[in-house]
Amino acid sequence: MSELELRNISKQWHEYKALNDISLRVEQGQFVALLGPSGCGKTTLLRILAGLESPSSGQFFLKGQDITDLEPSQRGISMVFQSYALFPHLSVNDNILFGLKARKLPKAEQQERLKHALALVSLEAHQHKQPAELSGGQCQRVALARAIVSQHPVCLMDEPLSNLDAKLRAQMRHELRALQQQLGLTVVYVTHDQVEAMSMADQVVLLNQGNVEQCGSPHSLYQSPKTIFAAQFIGSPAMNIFRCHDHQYLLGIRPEDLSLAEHGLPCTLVKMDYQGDCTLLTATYQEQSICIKVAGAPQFRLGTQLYLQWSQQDCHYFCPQTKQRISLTEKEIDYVDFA
Amino acid sequence: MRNFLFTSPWRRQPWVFAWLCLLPALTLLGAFTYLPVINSIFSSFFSSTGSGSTLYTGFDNVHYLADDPVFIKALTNNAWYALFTVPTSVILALTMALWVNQKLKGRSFLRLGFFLPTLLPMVAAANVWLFFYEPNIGLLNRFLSVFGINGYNWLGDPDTSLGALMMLTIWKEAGFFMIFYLAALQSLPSDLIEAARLESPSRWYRFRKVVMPLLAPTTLFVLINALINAFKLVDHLFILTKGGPNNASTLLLYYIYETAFSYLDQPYAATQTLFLLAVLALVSALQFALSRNKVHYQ
Repeated sequence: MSELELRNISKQWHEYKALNDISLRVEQGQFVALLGPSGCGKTTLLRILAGLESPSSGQFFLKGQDITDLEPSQRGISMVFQSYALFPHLSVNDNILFGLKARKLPKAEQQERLKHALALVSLEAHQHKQPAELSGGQCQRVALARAIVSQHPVCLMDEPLSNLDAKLRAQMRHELRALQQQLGLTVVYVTHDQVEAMSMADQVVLLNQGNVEQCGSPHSLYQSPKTIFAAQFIGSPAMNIFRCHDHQYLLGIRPEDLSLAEHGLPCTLVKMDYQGDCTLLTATYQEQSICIKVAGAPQFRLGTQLYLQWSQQDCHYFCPQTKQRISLTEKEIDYVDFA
Repeated sequence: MRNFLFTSPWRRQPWVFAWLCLLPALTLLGAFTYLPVINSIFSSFFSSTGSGSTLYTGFDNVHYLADDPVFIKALTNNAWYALFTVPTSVILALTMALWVNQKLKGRSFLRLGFFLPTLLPMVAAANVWLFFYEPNIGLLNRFLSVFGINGYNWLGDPDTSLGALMMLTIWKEAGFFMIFYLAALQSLPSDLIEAARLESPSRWYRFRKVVMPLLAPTTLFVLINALINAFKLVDHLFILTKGGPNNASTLLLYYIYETAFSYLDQPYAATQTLFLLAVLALVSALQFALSRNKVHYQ
């Protein structure tokens, strides 16, 4: 039995379909990232899980129990909001204890859980402060602690790190993942940042316009994207997609899988983008733009002729009509006439 | 503007420019606020004689104040009036605001209905309520007669006249304060309300621990306004009871008006006015001090 199971969840506002028949299984202790561009429906899905919105159709189950129509507080689900949603008039302690007091837990139990949660997020020194006195990172920890003390089996997170600066975000990413594994929490995590999804999640659910584009481990999303959308969304810079000469296939090759050589596909360098650890080259071949990621800082003049090579195992093939991944036999591959 | 300000002669004497900027506000405030206050203080301690010269009367008026049974009556009436109308109208305002803040059919119609009394001038509202209270043809007595209850002279009885005025005041004020609460409710951060919904199963707990504290600045504002209005809105007395019967429904400001313009005792009226000002200032100060720790401004 799955910890959390979504069956055919749809959400519609008048004509607009925000979510289209989403089915999903989340296992106990899994970290699942809902990834997608803005407007793909990921936050809507999370809010439906939390009970803040109701689905137009479909059901979902927590440990086999149908919780589709339960009140948010009755579901056994906690949530960390993007804005942290700390109560400005309550101290750190009271913010964390809010739910326990509301549920009238015994005082001793409350204090014990509070102590434990404060230690987990290392906020002992700040427990009597007001949220206004805390930094962004500290507010984030309070919101986490509030989710932890409830001891709900599932925790939802709505872009919890998006308001932090880059350095703190990387640190919190690490801490969050460690905490989740230590507590065995089941986490559903909404993000538009593929780095967050790839580095933290056990399972990534890629959403696009209300549909599940692909669902799988970060590795499988990167290695074998099911659609052109998935191929171009995961990975930075995005995968190059080429039209093959006979227009039967689309060929995808990641910029990092292309290499410069003495001979190969000839193209003309039009742009160099130095990034420190690597350089992104943009070249054109018969009006098609190609992005190449090379290590270091090569010294080329714009307009130089470059020769590209790649290995067959890094090629991804897609159908131009359905935009779906297709696998070709070796014989077919031999016939692919690139451009 | 910047160039204008920094060219001579302004550069040499910037205070001239400053005073010119202050002048319009200063003129209005001076003529209609500061001057009358000073005049009131002056006239409560001096009495002008027929020959045009003034006579120092000292604290005679203040002593007289303490011995004036009508003034004491007006004061106690006003205290009861405030004590009853302020909390009632504020609680009613909050209840109505919570109600019409929900998604329900005819919401705008309800909002308009609640707000309508505010649009009426107090005198017009009093005239409407005169028809409610009228002993023979009044709506209230007609309604009661349906149940076989005998009519009552609501405004003519010393026991009920003040109560009848309070009803009108609550009806008129609650809708006005509702607008403030409604605006405050709509500007509450929705994620806080949602976080509370996830954490607390009890609606009442959420209201008490999240909504009320977040509304505290509005409550303070509304309370102070309600209290000041309880002392300064007396228009309805002119229409409904004229303070009667036997001063049973007289209020402080109405008595001040009568002293000044019916009994033509301006110095005594000035003393009463100063007393009223002092009371209002004290109560407002107290309210601010008490709420300093309770009110959280975001």
